[in-house]
Amino acid sequence: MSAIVRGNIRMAMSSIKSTKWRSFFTMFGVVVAIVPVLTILSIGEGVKRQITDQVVGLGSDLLTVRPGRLITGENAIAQFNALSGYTTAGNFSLKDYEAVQKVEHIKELAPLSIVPGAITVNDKPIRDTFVVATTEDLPSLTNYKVQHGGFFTDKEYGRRSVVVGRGAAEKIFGEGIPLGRAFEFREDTFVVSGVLERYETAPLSFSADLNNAVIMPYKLAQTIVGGEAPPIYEMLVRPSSEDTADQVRRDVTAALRETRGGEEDFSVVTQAENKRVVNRILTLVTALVSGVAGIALLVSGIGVMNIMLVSVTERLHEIGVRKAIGATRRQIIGQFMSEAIILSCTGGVVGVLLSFVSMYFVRLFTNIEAVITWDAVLLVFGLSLVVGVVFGSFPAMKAARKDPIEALRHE
Amino acid sequence: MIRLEEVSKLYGLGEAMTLALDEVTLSIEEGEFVGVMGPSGCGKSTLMNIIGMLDRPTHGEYKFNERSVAKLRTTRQAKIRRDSIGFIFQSFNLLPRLTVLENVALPLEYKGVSARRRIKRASEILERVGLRHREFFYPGQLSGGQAQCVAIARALVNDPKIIIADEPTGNLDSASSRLVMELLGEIHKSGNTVLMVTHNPELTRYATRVLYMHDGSIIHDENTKLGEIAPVARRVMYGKPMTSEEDDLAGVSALMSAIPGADEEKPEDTKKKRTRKTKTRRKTTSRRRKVAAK
Repeated sequence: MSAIVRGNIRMAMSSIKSTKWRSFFTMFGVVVAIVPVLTILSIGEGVKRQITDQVVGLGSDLLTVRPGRLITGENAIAQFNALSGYTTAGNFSLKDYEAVQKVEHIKELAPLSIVPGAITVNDKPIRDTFVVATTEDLPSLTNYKVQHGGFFTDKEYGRRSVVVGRGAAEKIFGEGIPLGRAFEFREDTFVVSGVLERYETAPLSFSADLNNAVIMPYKLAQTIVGGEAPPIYEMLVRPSSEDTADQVRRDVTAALRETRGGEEDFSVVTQAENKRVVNRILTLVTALVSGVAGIALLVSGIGVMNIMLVSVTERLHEIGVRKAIGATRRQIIGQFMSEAIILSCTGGVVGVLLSFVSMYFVRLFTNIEAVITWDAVLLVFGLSLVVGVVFGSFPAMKAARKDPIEALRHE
Repeated sequence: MIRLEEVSKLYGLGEAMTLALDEVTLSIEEGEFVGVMGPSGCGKSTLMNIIGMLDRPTHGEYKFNERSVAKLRTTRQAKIRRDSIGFIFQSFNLLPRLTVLENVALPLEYKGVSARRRIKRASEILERVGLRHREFFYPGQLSGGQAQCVAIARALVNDPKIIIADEPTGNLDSASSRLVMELLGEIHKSGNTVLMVTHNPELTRYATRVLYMHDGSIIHDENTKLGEIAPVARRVMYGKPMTSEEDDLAGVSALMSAIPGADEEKPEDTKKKRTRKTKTRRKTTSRRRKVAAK
């Protein structure tokens, strides 16, 4: 580093120190612009990774069958439709499920259905839990693991034994392992035969969070609801092998179209497609927030410029003295530019540090595992540098162009 | 080394236009100690600023080392100021947020000298002006005399050929003035050219040449012996002609009346001067009276 650059930095530091509050608030403007950018970028990155992990965990051959049509067109973003992802959803009936069951080359199949009703223990209703009806294939389809006890089998549905998610177990029974304990649901008594491991679903993914669910066999649900079977909101299908995946997809589509009167008001999607939809949503959100943050950054840059203009005016006499003893225009520019850059870059550094704090809170209050990547850190730091350079140059030029004698006369 | 040919400087426009320098032709050779005297507002400072390349003449040609200054780029001018000219101001003009040492080293910094050599050189110069022990003080912690010595050290640090001092003792008491003048004298003896504006005729002792200015023109130019007060300046100090009330109103100072041959110009001068503010005139005259009383 040359002597002049070091001198400029030293001068800038002392000038910033001499106007502490002013500099602090200018910097704060930059911080306020930086933190949301980095936070949103990190959340986006984190969610993408979580979704990817989930896709890898579930296996890319898993098919998800949902009512409603998935928009896969490339201009989903332009149409602002990416946020809806699926158009108006309906439900699958038992008939649809049975049709899918008949399709060949299916290794595992699990319908997911919410059984209406409230859970009570000793006549006390339990809130925030729900009952899901499915088949014994669910654990292997979704990577859920049974921590205590065992998962039910479809054949023994008459035993009224159910599996509870970790969260539901705590809500219904409090601390401890509730194996063998009972609760009431729709005026019937059920016994817990298994407890699932705590499982984090990726945010923004379409799979249900079964942490807070009580899971019972679908056949059992059919008997307790009586009459109409509970509607199915999703079916998970795993083909027997990679080779048959396409065929299964076609066959499931064909079977469902037939049962639903020839209309394709449902979608059979692969994990890759799921991921793409989520990514599209994330890209849209990130773009929108970045736009807002860009404006914030612009405003903070104007703040830096204003303060630098004030600084130049205040120090006209100093500029005059410096010119008299031989500072060139470039050296004066260097001095004021360093000051602006130090202001905005300090804001950048503080912004990055605060983003780590905000990340911590995001982690604390949501299931998003935000990730701050080096790329993102470099990007926002670069942005703050650009703000300093762009908005510092005008005041610096103004200072450098001052006539030495005019500047000297200014007290 | 310094040549001015019919250099004029105008300020303002139209009605408010003032003529600070009126076709001044002057040449200064290397090794001279030039004292510049004259009433306030006579253009002494403007002349210094133009010679120091802080200001540009409106008309006329200024040649520095045979090169036309008007044709030099601003960067080149800045480098000449840095390397060949040292400024000493009445109000010291030290940077308050830098220490004494940093202030002195600043011109070296602009030259790109490494930190270690900068500090070494600045310390040497401070030693020379006798302020080595104040290196890490801030200008605000120094007395006026000390501050001016620091400013002199700063002016000297790049070994300039020319020292331009604009009333260097104007803000100092007599003891400090003496110290500063001895320093300037020493600088001159070591071969530098010194240009000094002063109101104090006593200080022409240090000069080899004295210019008397009035209304933007050099009205008298005399060579003097080192150690002796210039003849005309002495007449101001000890001579009879005090300014009368009438002269006061006309803005003619004792100095003016002391210059032989200046009488003829007087009526014309009076006309010009009437436009000036009375306030400044009073101030100068009273200061001159004080000097005369000494």
